[in-house]
Parts: sequence; structure tokens; C-alpha cells
Amino acid sequence: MPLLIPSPETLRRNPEKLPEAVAQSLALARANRHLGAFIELLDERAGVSCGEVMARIRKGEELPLAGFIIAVKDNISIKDVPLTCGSRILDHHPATFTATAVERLERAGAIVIGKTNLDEFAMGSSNENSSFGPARHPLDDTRVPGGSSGGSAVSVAAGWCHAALGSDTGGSVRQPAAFCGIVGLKPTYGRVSRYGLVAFGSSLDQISPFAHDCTSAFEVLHAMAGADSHDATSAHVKVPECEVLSLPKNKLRVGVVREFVDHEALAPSIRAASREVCDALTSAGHTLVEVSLPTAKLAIPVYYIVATAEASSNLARFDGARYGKRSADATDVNSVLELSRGIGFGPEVRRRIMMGTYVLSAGYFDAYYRTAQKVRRLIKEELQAVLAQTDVLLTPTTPSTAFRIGEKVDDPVAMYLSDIFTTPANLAGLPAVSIPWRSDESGLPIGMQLMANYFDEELLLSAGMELERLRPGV
Amino acid sequence: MSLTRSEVEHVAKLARLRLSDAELSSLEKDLNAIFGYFDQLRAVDVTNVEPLAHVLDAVNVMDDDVPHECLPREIALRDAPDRTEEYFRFPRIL
Repeated sequence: MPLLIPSPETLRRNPEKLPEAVAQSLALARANRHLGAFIELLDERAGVSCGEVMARIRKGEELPLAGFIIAVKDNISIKDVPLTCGSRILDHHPATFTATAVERLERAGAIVIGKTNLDEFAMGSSNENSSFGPARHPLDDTRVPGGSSGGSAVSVAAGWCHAALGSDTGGSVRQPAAFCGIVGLKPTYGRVSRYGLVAFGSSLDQISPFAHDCTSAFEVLHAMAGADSHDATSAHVKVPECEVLSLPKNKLRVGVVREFVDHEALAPSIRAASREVCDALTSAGHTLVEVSLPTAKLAIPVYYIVATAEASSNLARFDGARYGKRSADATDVNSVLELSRGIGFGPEVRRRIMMGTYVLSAGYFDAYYRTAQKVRRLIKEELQAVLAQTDVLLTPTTPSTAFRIGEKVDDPVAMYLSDIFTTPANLAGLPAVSIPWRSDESGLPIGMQLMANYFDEELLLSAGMELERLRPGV
Repeated sequence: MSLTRSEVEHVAKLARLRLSDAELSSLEKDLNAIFGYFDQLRAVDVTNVEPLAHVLDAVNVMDDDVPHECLPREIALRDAPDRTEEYFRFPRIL
């Protein structure tokens, strides 16, 4: 879908047009409220930011993200703005500080227009688990936009924003990017500070941008990447100086993951698209190498054991003691905890807390959690071994295009399998991106995933840029 | 392996979640389906494989021991479900 507001370049050249563009962006989001993309629009705050950005431009400041109008997933804190995580348990808790990623984007000139809808606590693959109602696909409102960062994906795909932040724990940015036909980048684990991101699976979570193309995804990443003293897990790895993305300097060695391009669950249209991508790369002079990741097939059980174990522990802090909702019927310590959490969390979050508590409980810890951690190491080593012989790996992003609302809600295993190609990158901590390739016979977008080595987002996105160049014309 | 109804109730208690009978029943069904699928992990040979907890070879980072501005008390308390002047109020524990 085309961008419905002026491009960042236009706005950078004509900063006087910024207030109108921000107003336009807000009006579009409002006029399309039925798509459920936003939980809250921040008109007043966006107006103030806009004035500040214009003043800074007038003073001659170089702002790398001047002209960028963005949205932020509502599990990322912005000071004094209600933080819901798509849950009732937080009860519109006003955040006490701003996430480092948001602070850095605003410092670089970006303007935030609102907080977007998500699966509660980022747990879901369809955005149907939000206590604020589902977000809907911009091309077909009977379908899901993907999840968990569904609202952020819609805000970009529908053309109201230049970029948006989501969080990717097992594919929560790449999968909705694929469903909605935009770029979704999960940076290397530790690349972007998570200070201000509400924790789900701490060994997996990364704040991740959506954008219309690889060039702008790179600009957004560049503005927010780098170590942060507020997040001990943020990596002390130098952020490349280069601020402009270019096509790959050399021909690429692309590893094609056999188990994934031939996966039995893959929709025929996506199987065909994968073949086209391979042919296009070969014709452009790149080398394809067939690689095998036998253990990565087990990524779903490993991921759901590790992620739910971490979630059950992270979500223990929602106890009705210090913020958010406390049950009015509670009388003693246990009833405050059990009732506040029982009514505050939605069904999928309750189910995942149960899964995580079970795999960590006495008697099952070794059988599930410990085993999953060991298989996780095998998956990581397998990926590192194939990346030692290739520049990037190619897989489809998702096994199907956007499915219908309600189609998978009663079958958790089927829903979890939507993440089958995206979870390995989180388990290994590698950077990965979903690039729109073309649409299927119903007009729904198909995304292709690329993975690269640790901290090599630049090569990853330049390979993505090459896919954009080779993409069949629209 | 399969979970019994009483195991599901026990896990809910450990997780501090008060759940209805209907939800406990549907969780018993869901968790058995989910862990039934996960049991394929048992077929993997993990002999001599070290568990992986953190993907990067990260080491502890120490901050200089200097005082920073911290969250003002009034801000910390402003969303408390129940409070006194200076404290969060909670049912007695002992």
C-alpha cells in the first residue's frame, strides 16, 4: 500500500510541512479506527515534538530522522503515557520513564504519533489476544495483520507512518511484516537497548523496527542501536559509522535452508515464491548454497519452553501491589495475587504462565527446560556453522499468508506453528529481516526472511536491498 | 507424559492464578496437546551438550559507584492500587 503522507525526504526539505503531515497521519489512524491499530493516539505530545523538531532544524541541527513519523508498540514505555501491554492488569498505568530506544529516535528527530495494539504482553501471532480487541489486516479486515506487533505493522503498511517500533521475541515483528507487505527487522540480540521494553522472554526479546524499505529500517536501527548503561544486556559492540545503506559490494553467497523451503506446512504460493527468489538471485550472479538445519526443525518446542519459562518468571512482578489492577474482592496476600492475576491477565497469557510454570516445576525441569536449553545450543551451533560458509540465509518468513481472524484461536499448536521459520533467529540471537516479495493469488503479501551473522545488520539489510531491487514489478 | 487435572491445579497454585473449573478443564486439554507436541524433543541426543542460557558471550558490566537521580517517591507511588502517605499498602503478610 502506498505511503499516504509525504516522505521523510520531502519533510526534511520542507520542515514547515511537518505539522500538517503529523495531523494527516493522526487523522488517517482515526478514520481507520476499525482496523484497531492504535491503543492511544498522542495528538498533544506529537504536536509538542513537532514544534521541537522544527526549532532544531531551524537552528541548523543535523537530525538523521528528521521527517520520520512513527508509532510505538504499547509494551514500550513513554514517560507519562499510559502503558497497557494490551492487558487489563496494568489498568492504563502511566509509564514513569521513556525507553532508551524511543528517546534515541526522538533525539534523532522522529515524531511519535501513538501507541499501537498488540497481543497481550506480546504473546501471540495474530494480535487477537489484545484486551483492546484485535488489530485487522489493512488489505482485508477479516484477516489478522499478524502478531504480536500487529498494530505497529498496520500503522506502517496502511501508509500512515514511515516506521514503527515493535518487539520480536519469536517473530513478532517479522511475521506481521510478512503478512502486511513491509520490512520487519529483528536486530542481533543486544544490539538495541531494552530499557523500557516490558520483558517477555529476556534471553530472546529485541526491540525491532518496521519500515517501508531496508534503507529506512537501517536508518531507524542506526539511530537507536548501541550500548546503554540502563540495560546490562545491551551489547558493547560498535555501531557502524555508515549511515546510508547501499547494495552489496560483492556477489553474495546465499544459504538456502532446505528444511524450510521444502517444509510440508508451506503454502504452495510461498513455495513458488521461494523458488522465484532463488532464480532471481542466481540470475543476478549470486551463488546459492543448499544448507541443512536438521535441529532447527525443533525450534518451536524449544522456543515455547524457553519463552514461557522466562515469561512466567518475568510476569511474576504483576502482583497488584505497586501498580495496575488489584482485585477488589481480595482480602489476604494470596487472594490479592491469585485474584488480581486471574482477572488481570487474558487467557493466552494465563496459558503461557501455566506452561512456563510447569516446565520450571520440580520433576519437569530437566525433562523440558534443561533439555530445551541444550537443544537451543545445538540450533545455535548449527546456524553458526552454515553462516560460516555463507553471507546470508534465505527462508520464507511464514508458512502461510495472513489467515482469517478466528481461524486458529482454538488450536494453540497451530497458532504456535506460525512462528516456525522465525524462532531460530531468536534462539540463536542472530539478526533477521523479512522483506516483502510479491502477493499471492488473493493479493496477500508474501515475505522472505534473510538471516546474517551477529551484528552484521548492514550486510543483512544490503542483501535485503538486493531482494527489493530484484522484486517483480508491481 | 500427560498432565492430570490435579497437576494442572497444582501448577495454577504455583503460578498464583485463580482459575475457574471450566478454564482448568480447557487448560488440561490444551497443555496435554501442547506438551504432546513438544515431546518430540526427547528424541534428540543431548548427551554432553551444555545448556545455553545466553546467546552472546556477555560478561558482567560494572557501573561506576556514583549516585544517580532516582525515581521520585511521588512518581513511584502515583499508580499504587492502595497506599499510605509514603508506602504501598498491602494485606499483612505475617
